[in-house]
Amino acid sequence: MELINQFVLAGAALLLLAILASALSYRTGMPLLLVFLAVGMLAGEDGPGGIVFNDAGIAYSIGSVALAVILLGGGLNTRAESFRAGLRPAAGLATLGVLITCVVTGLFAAWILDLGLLQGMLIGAVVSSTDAAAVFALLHAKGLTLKQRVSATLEIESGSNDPMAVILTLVLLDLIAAGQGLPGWDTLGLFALQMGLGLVAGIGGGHLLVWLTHRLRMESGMYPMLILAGGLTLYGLTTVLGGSGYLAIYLAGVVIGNQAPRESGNILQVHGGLSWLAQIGMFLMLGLLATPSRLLDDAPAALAIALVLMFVARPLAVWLCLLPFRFPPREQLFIAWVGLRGAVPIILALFPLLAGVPEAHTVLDVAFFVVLISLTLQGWSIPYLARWLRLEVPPAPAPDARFDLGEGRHHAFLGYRLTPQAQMIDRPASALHLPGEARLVAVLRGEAALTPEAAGRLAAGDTLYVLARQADTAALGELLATPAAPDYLEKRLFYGDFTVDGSADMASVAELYGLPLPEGAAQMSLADFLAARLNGVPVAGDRYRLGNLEFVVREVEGQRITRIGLRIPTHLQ
Amino acid sequence: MNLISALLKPENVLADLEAGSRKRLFEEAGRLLQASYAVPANEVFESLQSREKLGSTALGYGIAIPHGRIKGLKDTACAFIRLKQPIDFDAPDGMPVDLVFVLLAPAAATDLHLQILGELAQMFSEKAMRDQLRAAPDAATLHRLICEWTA
Repeated sequence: MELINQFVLAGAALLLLAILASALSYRTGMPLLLVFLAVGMLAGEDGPGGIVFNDAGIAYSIGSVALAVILLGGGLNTRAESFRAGLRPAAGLATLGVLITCVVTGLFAAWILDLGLLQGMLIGAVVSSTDAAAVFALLHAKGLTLKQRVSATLEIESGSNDPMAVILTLVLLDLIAAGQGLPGWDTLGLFALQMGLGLVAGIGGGHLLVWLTHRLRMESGMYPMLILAGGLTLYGLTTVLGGSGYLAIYLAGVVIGNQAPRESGNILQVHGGLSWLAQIGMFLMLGLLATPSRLLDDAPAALAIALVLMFVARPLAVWLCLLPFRFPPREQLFIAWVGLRGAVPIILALFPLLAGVPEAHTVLDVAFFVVLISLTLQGWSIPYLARWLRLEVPPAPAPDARFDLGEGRHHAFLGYRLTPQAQMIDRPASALHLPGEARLVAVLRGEAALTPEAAGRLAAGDTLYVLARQADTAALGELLATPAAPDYLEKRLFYGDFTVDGSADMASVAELYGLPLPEGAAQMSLADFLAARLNGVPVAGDRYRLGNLEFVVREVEGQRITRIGLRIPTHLQ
Repeated sequence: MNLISALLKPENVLADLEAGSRKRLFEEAGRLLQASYAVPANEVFESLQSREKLGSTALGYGIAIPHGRIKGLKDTACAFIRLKQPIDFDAPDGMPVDLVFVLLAPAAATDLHLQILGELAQMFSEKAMRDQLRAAPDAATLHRLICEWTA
C-alpha cells in the first residue's frame, strides 16, 4: 500500500515537472519532446532522481499504447484537404522511403559496428521511420505555418510510416531467429497482410465509430472516450490479427476527424489533451529507461550512424521517392531534414530485447543515441530552416473563440477580441459592414454582454460575437482578427498588394503590368500558366517571377488556383 | 517627397464625391481625367473596368487602387477621390470602400508604374494615414497629406 502511494507520488510529480518544464521550450526553442526526455533522464538511474527502471516489457506496453493515442490524435487533426497535396508523395516516403533508409543505414551500421548483415539491418530498420509525435508537435507548434505541400507530406508520412518500420523489424527478427540469410517471398505476404489489414480495419472501424457516435445518446464527456476506447480496440484487434495496428488507428482518426461526428469539437479538444499526456508519458518513460552512462560506450559509432542517417540515408530516400512529384529543391531539402526520430525507434529497439537477440543492447543504445541527436540537432533547427528556405506562409487569421452550429458545420458562432491595432476600433457596433451574411450578435465588454445597438463605438478589448456562414469566415478573419504573424509574414509583404483571379487571362495581365509574355502563354489563364510553371500540386505560397512582378499563389480550391497575389519584389525588399 | 507628389494635380483630388457604385465612380474618374489629360473618358472607364474584371483592386481597410494602362496617354494620370458614402468593391475583407486612388499608365510605362503602385499600397496600409485622410476637411488638405507622406 505504502509503496503504491509512493509510486503515484513519483509519477505525478514527474508529470508535473515535465509540464512545468515545457514552459522552457517556449523560452529557449528547445524541442518539447527533448524536454520530456531530459526530465526522464534526470529522474533516471544516472541522474539526481536515481530511479532504476529497466523493464522492457512494461516500457513496450506503455510505449505502444501511448503511440497509438498520439497517432489517433494526429489522424483526427489531419484534414482530408491535405491529402490533395500530400497523399501520393507521402505514400512513397512511408514505404519505399523507409526501406531505402533502412538499407543504407543498416549497411553502414553493419560495417562500423562489425556486425552481421542482418544485425546491421536490424539497426537500420529500428531507426527507419520518422516520428509522428515529434513531427505533429513541430508542425502544430504555435507560430509555424508551413506551405501545405510540405506540411501535408510530412504529416501523412510520419503518421503512416511506422507500420513499415515495424514490419521490417519483425521480418529481420524472424530471419535472425531462423538463421536465414535473405528475406524470402513470405516476407512480401507478411507485408501485404500488415498493410492491408491496417487499411481495412482503420477505414472500416473509423466509419463504424462515426456511426456509433451518431447513434448513441450519452453524456457529452463520453463521446471522446468512445473514440479513445474504440480506437484502441481497433489498434489491439488489428495487431492481434496480424495487421498494422498503428496504421489502423491513424486512419480511423483521419476518417473520424473528417466526418465531423456529433460533439466533434469536444472530441478534438479532449484528444488534443490526451495526445500531450501520451507524449509526456512516453518520453518520460523512455528517459527513465535510458542509461546515459552506458550510452557513452557506443557513442562514436552511434554518432556516425546518426550522421549517416541524417545526411545520407534520409536525403537519398527523400530525393528518390519525390522524383516523380517535382518538388522544388528547397522543399526536398526541408523534408529530408525533418526526418525526426522519436519514440518509435526506441520502442522497436525493445523488440530484439524481448526476443532475446544477443546484440539487443547495442541496438537499443544506438537507437537512443540516434533519437537524441535527431531531436536535438534537427528538432532545434527546423523552425529556423523553414524560415531560411522561405517555406512559411502567413497563418490564417483565426477567431479567438469558435462554436460550430449543427452537425454539418455550415454555420459557426465566432468570437474576435479587438486589439488596439484592429481597424474596427471607434466604429459604431450597430453599423458594421460584415462580409456575406455575417451578423454581429453581441459585444462583450468587461463584465457586460451588450447588443450591437447598446454597445456604441467599439473599443480595444471588446470581444465581438458574430454569427457567420462557413464560407464567410475567411473574409471575417481578414476584417476582425489581428494577425499574430512576425513582420516578414505580414500578408501584404508576403503575397503582395494586389490580387487577381485565377481566371484572369495571361495576355491582359502581361499587357497591364508591362510583363514579357512567354511563348504559348497568350491563350492561357493565369491559373493554368502558373500551374504549368510551378512544380507539383500548387499550394498557397508558391511563387513565380515574370519580369518585374512576382506571382504568389494565394488561394487554391480543389486542384485550381483561384486567387493570385501580385508582388513587386523591387519595391518590397 | 514621394513618387506620387510629382504626379497628382490638386484639381484631381476630390473630397466627398457621391457615387453609388464602382461603375459610377469610374465614370466620374473618366470625366475628371479627360479634363486634365485629354484622354477620352470612355477609355478611362474601359481600362479600369477591364482591370476590375481580373480581380478587385480593393486592398481592404476601405481602400481601393483601381489602375490600368492606356495607349494614347502621354504621362501617368492619377486622381484621388474620397467618397461620401462607401461603396461595395468586392474587397478581401468585405469592407466597402471610401478612399480611392486611380492610376493610369501610358503604354510605354516602365517599372516606375509598378513602383508607384507599391508606394500607394504602402501609404494606404498605414492606419494613421487612413485616419487622417478620412478626417481631412477638404480636397486641399487631402492633396497636401498625400504629397507630404513619406515611407
